[in-house]
Amino acid sequence: MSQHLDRYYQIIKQSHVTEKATTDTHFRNAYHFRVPTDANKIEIRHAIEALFEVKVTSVNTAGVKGKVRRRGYVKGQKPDWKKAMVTLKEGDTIDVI
Amino acid sequence: MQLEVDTSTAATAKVAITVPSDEFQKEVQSGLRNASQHVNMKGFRPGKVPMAVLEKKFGDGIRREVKESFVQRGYGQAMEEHGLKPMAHPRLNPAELDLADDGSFVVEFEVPLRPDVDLPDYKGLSITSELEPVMDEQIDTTIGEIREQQSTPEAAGDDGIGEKGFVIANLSFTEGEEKVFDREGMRLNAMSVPPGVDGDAFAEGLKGAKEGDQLTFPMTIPDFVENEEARGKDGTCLLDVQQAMNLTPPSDEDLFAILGEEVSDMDGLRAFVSARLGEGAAERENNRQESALLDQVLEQCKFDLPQAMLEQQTEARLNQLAQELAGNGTSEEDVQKAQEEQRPTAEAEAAKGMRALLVVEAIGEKEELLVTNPDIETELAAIAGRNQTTIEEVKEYYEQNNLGQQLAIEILEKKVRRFLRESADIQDPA
Repeated sequence: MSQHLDRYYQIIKQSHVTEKATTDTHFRNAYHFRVPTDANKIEIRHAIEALFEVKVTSVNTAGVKGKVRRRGYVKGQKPDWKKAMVTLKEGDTIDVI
Repeated sequence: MQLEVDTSTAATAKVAITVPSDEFQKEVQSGLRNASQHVNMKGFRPGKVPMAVLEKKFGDGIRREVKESFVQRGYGQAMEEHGLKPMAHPRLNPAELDLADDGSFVVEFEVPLRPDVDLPDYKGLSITSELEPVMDEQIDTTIGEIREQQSTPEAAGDDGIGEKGFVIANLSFTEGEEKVFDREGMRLNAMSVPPGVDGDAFAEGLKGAKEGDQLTFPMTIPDFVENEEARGKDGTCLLDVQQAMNLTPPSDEDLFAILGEEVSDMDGLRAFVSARLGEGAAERENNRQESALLDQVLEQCKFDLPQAMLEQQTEARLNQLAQELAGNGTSEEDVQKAQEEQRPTAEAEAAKGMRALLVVEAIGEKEELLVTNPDIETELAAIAGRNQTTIEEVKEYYEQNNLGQQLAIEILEKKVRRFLRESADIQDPA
């Protein structure tokens, strides 16, 4: 279980609070999180249910390309990341802020 | 907002502010709406941060600001509506500023009020001068002291040092065979006796000391040596004399030259010293008269002082005493005992200080003794002169430590004291 918890804490990197996420929470009780790019929907569901003690009804994910950054001639790129949009059972909530 | 002011206690007003829950929430919401226009949060466009997010992030801070704003408004309103003159701002503990269970905000605090000072007749107070003329003996003693101060050290030679000579010596304390303390190059004379050595024996032994002498004195090893076992035991103090010097006073001509053009002969010197002694004595006498006159006024003035402020001032004095004692290495237990012993004195001094301040301010106001910018500049220049620094540095120190008001009060006190003296009936001694 402790091994699982360690992984769960790795999966839920941080809550992703934006206008879009707030609207999503308001209209369909969905919360947005940043997760590792290798995390799959099943373990995201388990992590959310175990860490926040809520019931997850669906998990949608989206891979986001890191933005290109350049400083003069030097070009770089922010790392890619993954966003998980987790919909909870009606009545369940997560204190994300 | 409901406001209740109770002035039944002497020199203190009890203020109670009650803000109903809905009024308080309205104010918080208004604060949040106001914040939403200015907050720049990542993930949200300006002005688009939802209230719930703002509430979570800034709710506590805004509630604290709203509480403070109600306290300030209530305090101002209470002072204005009831015509109260506060002597100091109320001290509020942030822990007391909690919301009640029903969400209303209730806070009570005490404001120390400036008592009405009914001034007695303070002009033409009678006092007898204690100024005494400068005596010849005083002049002789002072001239002797100046000579001593201006003496130059000269090698003592084979005769060794006299009564007023000194030695530069390496000092060491030994207990049995063990050296428990040593210092090099110490300047010692008959008056600077090493701790644990008998003073008379040391002065006697030092007479006639020459360069290269090794002087020994029986002693009790003092408590400051590192070796704890040696402390308090009998030991020996060894002086290895490196230099022996006698102090040679300046000749009359040299002394006249040192004191400047004003002095050219012995009569001039005596007149110079007499004038300086007279000035000092007159200044001391003026101070004594001013203090005595202010005491006379204080004795005739009866008014209640705000109890909370008196306690605060007493505690400040006792804390200062505790700091001084702790700095001298006094144990915590002894510090507490001393504090309890000194409490009545500290309370009396605090009461006298507060009374004096109120009386000084009342006289200053009545006689229109104003503290002007040139007064402050003059005082700052005097402080800078005394401390051998620049006015700018003194100004910076006073600004940094917020001592401007304190300085103004000190200047006002000086003016009032001078006024009392100048308007007093000063009688010559019989």
